[in-house]
Amino acid sequence: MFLGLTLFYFLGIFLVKNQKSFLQGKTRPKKRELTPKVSEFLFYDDTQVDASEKKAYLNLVIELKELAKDAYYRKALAEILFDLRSDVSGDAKKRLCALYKYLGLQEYSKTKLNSWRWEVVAQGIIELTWMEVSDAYGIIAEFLNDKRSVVRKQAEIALVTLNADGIRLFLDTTRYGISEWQQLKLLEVLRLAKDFDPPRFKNWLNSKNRDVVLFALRLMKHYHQNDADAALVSLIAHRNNEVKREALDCIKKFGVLKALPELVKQYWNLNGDVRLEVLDVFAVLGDESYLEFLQKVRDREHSSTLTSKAMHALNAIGNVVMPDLGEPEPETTENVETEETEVLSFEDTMHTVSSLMVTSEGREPEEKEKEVLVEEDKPQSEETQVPLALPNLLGALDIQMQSMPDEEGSYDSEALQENKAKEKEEVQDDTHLEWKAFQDTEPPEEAWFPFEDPSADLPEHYSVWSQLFDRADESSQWYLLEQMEELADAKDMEFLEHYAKDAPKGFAKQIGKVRLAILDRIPVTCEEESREEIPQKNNPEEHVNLGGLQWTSSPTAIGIDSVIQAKTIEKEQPESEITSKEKASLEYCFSLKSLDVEAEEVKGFNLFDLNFSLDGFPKPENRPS
Amino acid sequence: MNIEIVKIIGDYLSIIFLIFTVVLLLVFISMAYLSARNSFHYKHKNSFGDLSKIMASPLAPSITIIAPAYNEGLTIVENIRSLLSLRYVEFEVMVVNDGSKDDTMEKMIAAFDLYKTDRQVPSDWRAKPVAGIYKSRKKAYAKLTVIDKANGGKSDALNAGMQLSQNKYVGCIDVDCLLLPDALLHVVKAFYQRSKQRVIAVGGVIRVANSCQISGGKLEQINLPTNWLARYQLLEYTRSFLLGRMAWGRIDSLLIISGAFGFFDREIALAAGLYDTDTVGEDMEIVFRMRRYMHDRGLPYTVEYIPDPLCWTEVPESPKILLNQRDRWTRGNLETLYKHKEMFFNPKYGRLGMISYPYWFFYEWLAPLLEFFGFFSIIAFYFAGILNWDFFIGISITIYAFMVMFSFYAILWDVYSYNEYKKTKDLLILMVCALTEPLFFHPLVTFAAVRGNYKKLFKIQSGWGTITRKGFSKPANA
Repeated sequence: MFLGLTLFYFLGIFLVKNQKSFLQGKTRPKKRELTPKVSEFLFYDDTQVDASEKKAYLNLVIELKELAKDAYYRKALAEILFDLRSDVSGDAKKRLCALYKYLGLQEYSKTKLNSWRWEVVAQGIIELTWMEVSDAYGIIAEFLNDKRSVVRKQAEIALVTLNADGIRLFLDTTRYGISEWQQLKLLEVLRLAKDFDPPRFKNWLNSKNRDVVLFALRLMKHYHQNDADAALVSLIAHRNNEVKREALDCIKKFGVLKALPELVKQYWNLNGDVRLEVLDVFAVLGDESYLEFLQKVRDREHSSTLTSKAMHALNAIGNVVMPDLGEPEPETTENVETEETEVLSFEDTMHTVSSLMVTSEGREPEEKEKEVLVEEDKPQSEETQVPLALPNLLGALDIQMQSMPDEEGSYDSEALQENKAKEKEEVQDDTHLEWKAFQDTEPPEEAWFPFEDPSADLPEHYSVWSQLFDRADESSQWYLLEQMEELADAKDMEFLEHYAKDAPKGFAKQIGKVRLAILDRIPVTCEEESREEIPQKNNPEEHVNLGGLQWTSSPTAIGIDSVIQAKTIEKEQPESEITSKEKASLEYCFSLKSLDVEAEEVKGFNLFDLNFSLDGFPKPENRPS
Repeated sequence: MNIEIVKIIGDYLSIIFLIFTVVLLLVFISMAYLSARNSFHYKHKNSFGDLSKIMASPLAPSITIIAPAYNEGLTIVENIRSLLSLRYVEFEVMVVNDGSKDDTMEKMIAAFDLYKTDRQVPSDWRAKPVAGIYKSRKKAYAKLTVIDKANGGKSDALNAGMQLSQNKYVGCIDVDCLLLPDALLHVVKAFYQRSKQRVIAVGGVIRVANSCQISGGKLEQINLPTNWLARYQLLEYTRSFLLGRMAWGRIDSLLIISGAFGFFDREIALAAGLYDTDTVGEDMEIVFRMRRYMHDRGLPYTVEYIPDPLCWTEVPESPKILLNQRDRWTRGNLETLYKHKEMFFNPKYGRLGMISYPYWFFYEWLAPLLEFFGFFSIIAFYFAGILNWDFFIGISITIYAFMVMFSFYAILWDVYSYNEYKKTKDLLILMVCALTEPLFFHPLVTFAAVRGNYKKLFKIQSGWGTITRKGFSKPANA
């Protein structure tokens, strides 16, 4: 048997080898014949030719069309066009794509989408993408959540390439993870896209898909969208550490100063890697008010990496504080200089600190070390000893810090300045709002809500689905409706209403099903949003009427920042009280559910009341106990 | 009476050998199937897209290539130039001069205009002392870092590089290896393509560069080696990398990444404790350790394998050097298996403990010993007159035919997937190698394995040994 198989493989080796050269041999002469013709077509200039050349050109076009009917020629033509795709640009590229469409080759690519073989489908999608067949957008969108990963990934790239709004559709509807490689490729597509107007990526920071959040954060960083401070702060409490790290990176880059108190609060709940990032943030953004916290970290952390990071942050802040404190004492500087060339461990460094303090004041090391390292409950005047010692530590610590990346240059200093100014304003604004909010239960008149309206520049009835419906035939529309049943949310209701008016016959039932499915999903959202959402009165057009319930047009875009706003006000309240109020608020939502109250029946229910009760406002009178 | 007892023992031994052989054949058949599926999938999946477009992406991660150098004065400058010419943006070439006794360091200083920086090593340094960290004054070589340290062996040098690297990923390669320009792009893709698992390591195929034409650090022409020993190794590498590792990769049970071309997630490598300096099989050991690190913490992870021919290296052409190399591999294998013996048939480690580790134990470590003792027992049985000729001839022909068939299958896959050796003559030579390998090359490898075990058992100090490089061929017109 084995000998038989050996013989079989022996034949197989030569068969495969010959088949490869046979196929190459068959298409190569045809490619050689067609390449000059295609080039002639691509670089034809209508303005600089006479009548005979024009005639020759027309004949050439007709000839190419005829040749495309033959399978081998068609294959060769497609290969030539795909090869040329990466070598041409501008008008020539447009002509290339036009030729591809004129020859009807896109139809062959489209037929590949019906294949049962994933590699053929993926190839079809990629061909349509290469040749910028934008009318294939709707068909390709069907593969966005395909279970075959290669097909799905090609569809994602196609959507983003073929339509400027593809990125919105993709981020809104993708249900699968987005690998870092895919993110890299998608960003590359966006980077190369002409006149691409990036949407506000903060709108996806509260997506349930972890990878969408990560990608949105990276895109925000790339496009310098530094208008989501509150959302970034809220992500520190995200359950995924990678998201936390990425959010911290954004905080550092955009100089989100308001994140620092939250970081202090959350620090001990975070894991080691995230703590490292947090300390990095303090090194870049921190000021003297965080010295105490950083000293606590340095003293309590068991990991030498974390203590080193904390000391690095202390050093960084120490450098900032130093100018106000005058020159360090000369003898301590000398002491450090003698240590500079040695490699010091953390213990050594600590010992250096102690000995420095002893040298300067002649006290016992342990006693003094305590004083330097544990600065809690000390008046401001005593704290000055720390910065005095810190620059001296620098020489010794820099040795330890050598291996750490220098990220100070990576943050956006302008953004930091801007944020510092903004921070000051916001503190005043918040006080005002809080005061105003307690005056009555109306939402504040000022546009203090941090999110811009994501749909402000979009047409009426806008939905990510609308474009797909515009391009789809009836059967595709039916398929899209089925997809909507699973994926659509409250912000698509308006579009559905609009669509129902012109929908083909027999679609009403399916539209109704989709609307019901959306409404089914709403109570869950309600429960989350009711705790979080703070309305914006100044944007009434964003509100979507869902049978009496007032929803903003993009609930997905609102949640996180609202939480932060809610929390900002919460700070004044005792923790236990807030918890009980939150519970009450939730109970209210649940009770509506348990009583089977239909959405239509909740007329007069004011979501504003619900939110404001969370922040310490009087509860609505009809709230059950 | 005694003869009867020996006969009974002989019968039992025959049964053991038969079971052993049948299981081996079944394992190889499974491998053939799994590797075929993986190859098909890989080929289709990677037929789309242009890797080079990703080069300039701001999301592209940074990589450090660590190349330990010990007495490489003859070829070091050209090898570094080759590494610096890789097509990628965010990468650093870190050459670790592991206490060379020749002029390796001087040549690097002169060729790249190096100066000693004031950079210091971290406080928790876990390698031999560093004499200096060098950078180039020339902008063209800004990606180059040279570490001059006391001799501590390859793993110590790699540990030094890993600790001093500041990049997300580190690649550990042999400095005399030739990497293709797109190698790093493939590696990054492998690291970044998973969304649910963390890719902790990426390994790749090692191709035989003997007789190939290399010019300016670039592979100009692929030729079949002229030396027969190198040809046998080429066949062996094709079988091992295109079938064996592809199959293990398919079931995520790859336990070895070649030391000549291995890339690691630096954070995990550091957390797992870096390379073990007490073993000569450090490339295998670190994969075991990193896998266990992730497994013990219940973290989702995987080890990726790239079958594309990205790394080309010279293989020994002299039997003596070959024997030393294989002897070292055996000792490394044994040391690693012993160190991680808790994994043996341990269901806690899933496929690693139940399939991969036992395979390495029985078929990579034990099989050569059984072969060796089987050979002598056949001679003993022959002289004792109790040799079961039918069984002996039957099993010998079966194993021989199977080995040849498996080698032919490997050649077929090579032609199907990469088709590196296009000449019919080359393919015929490879087939002759497949037919004669069980008779000439395999006994040599078996002997080296026995010698390695013997050395380990009797604690005979042997270390790494040395490989004399011939250097790559230059093009005729160069």
